[in-house]
Amino acid sequence: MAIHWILYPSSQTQIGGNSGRTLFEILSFRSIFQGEKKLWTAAWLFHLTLAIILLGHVRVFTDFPQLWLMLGLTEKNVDWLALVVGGSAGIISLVMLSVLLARRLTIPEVKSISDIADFLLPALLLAIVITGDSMRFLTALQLEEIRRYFAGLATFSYNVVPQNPIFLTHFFLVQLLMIYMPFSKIMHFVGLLLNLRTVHGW
Amino acid sequence: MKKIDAYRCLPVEDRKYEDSAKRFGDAIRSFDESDIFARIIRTSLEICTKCGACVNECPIYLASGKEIIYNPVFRTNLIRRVIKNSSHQNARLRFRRGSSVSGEDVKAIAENVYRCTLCRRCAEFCTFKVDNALINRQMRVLLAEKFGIAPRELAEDGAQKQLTTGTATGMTKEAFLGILRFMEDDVRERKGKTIRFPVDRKGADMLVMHNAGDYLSFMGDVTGIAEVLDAVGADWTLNSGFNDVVNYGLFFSDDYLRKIMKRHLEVAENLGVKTLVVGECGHAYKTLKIFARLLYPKGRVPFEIKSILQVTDEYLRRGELHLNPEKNPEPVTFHDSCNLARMGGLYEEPRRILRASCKDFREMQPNRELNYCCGGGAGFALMTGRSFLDFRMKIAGKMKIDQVKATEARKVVSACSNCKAQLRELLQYYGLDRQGVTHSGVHELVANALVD
Repeated sequence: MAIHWILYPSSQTQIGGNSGRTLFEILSFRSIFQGEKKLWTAAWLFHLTLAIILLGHVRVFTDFPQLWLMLGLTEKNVDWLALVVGGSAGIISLVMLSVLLARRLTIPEVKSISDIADFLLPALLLAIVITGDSMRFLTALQLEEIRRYFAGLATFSYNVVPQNPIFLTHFFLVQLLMIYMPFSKIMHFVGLLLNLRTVHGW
Repeated sequence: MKKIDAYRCLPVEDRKYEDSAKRFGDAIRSFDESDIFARIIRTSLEICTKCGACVNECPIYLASGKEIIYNPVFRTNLIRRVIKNSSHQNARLRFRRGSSVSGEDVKAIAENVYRCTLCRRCAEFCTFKVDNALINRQMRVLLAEKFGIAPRELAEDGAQKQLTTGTATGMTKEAFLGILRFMEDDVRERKGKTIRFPVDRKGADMLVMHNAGDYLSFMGDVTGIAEVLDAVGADWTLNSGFNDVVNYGLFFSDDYLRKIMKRHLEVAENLGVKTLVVGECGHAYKTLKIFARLLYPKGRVPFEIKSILQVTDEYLRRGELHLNPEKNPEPVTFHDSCNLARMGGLYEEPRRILRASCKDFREMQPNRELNYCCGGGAGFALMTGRSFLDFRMKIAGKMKIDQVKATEARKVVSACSNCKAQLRELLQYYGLDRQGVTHSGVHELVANALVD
């Protein structure tokens, strides 16, 4: 029996036909930009800093001394870069998330269309960002210990969880988010690829 | 919380809603399995982040003074809840199959999907392109096909009548030929030139199909198109049988959509034309342009489908059509019809034509893909039932009339019969016609600007 690989919904355009436009939409949120500018600022900055933060988290699991060497950076440089870029991203995402949540709570037309999940989700994210930021700025965290723990998870050899309470809270909330994610509207980051320019562009 | 406004457009009693509610879950489930848009709608409903980017862009919501029930997401939320409650997965989670949909819910959904003009402006502002109009439209389809809940103007007096008599106006062949003779005489008297209406000529290059309402209400455009095609010496024809290009199925029923479109395509095939040209009608152009290929194997339609705007624009660009803009000196503004512009991609064609035929052409703000709907979309221009006319005038068309006022134009031009009908009534309702503001089709102006 032949296996049919069908992308759903199947595209009417050639490969590459709308991908440029789609990529531009994903990177710039052009559609929202032509409407409400305040919402665009908050949403775009939040997603941008979120991307930076996710990228920065790779260093929590492992380090790339070879890469830093190739780029001509010392360990100290990298730490300083992480503090400035990661730190500011943490602060900006915290502010933007609060703005988005406040907007949902105060603007009547948005409040009236929101249900409980729409408030709980940003609240959960806010808690994750706050614990993350406090780890960055308030505690002297030993990355080595955390890296050892995750390496243990990957190789099925259990190492003791770092006992920092802020880290434990952060880690717990992230796991909660990862469990909830497939059932929530966070799936918009997958769904947009199915919807964009397929419903609308013909 | 209030789920429904005071206007009513559906000729349905509460008892019918109660009966429908009992079978509503099953209807949704079979819709989930069979409808071609079901997965897109499911995706849309699930990924909507309810950010509210679309809310302040809906002309109906804005014109109503921001009433919650006209919020496009509120409407979609009603549907989202019902679909969630009656889907297989969720029913299984709750260890029971029945749905918890009440008659009130069905009534709210049924009336509310007829408060959206399906203009799709909201999707323009959504990064995920959550298409509230598509969701509303498929909900109309579900209600019409599974429960027979549809406005009388669209179902009995529109689609059904069109299938039995050939036109939605119920015009007979004799009456049709009589109207053509009348229009020939009319042009001879007014302009002193002879035009002819070729009917049922086999093997012509172009078959022009008009909205049958145009023959009665907007004759200037029918004769205008004939004058333009005569002026360039085109090989064209009208047809006498199934000659109404409207397809009300687009607004409420896939079944009617298919049946009526099949008849249209048969007409063009039987006459053996190279191009099927849709007259000044928005939804007919969109229907044929987008859905015609679904009825042919591999999507190969044996003839081209064009709008008359594209045809005239081609003649103009090839220099075959000579126009004198001085003949239309008054300020003119153009209303982008949703079906032609946002959904059909015809933005520049009408503008090139109007710039060539009018001296003072003004843009409305916003325009092109961000234009507001006239409020007559999705069959609203036909619907007057119960208190619906009030809704159309007071709410649906308010943003449009404000736009028109702001341009200070003396003539509002549109290339769509529905829009023209709505604009005519709007101008009367808001008293602009007493100030001398008129409406017109594109080809009435083109014919007026023709250089002899």
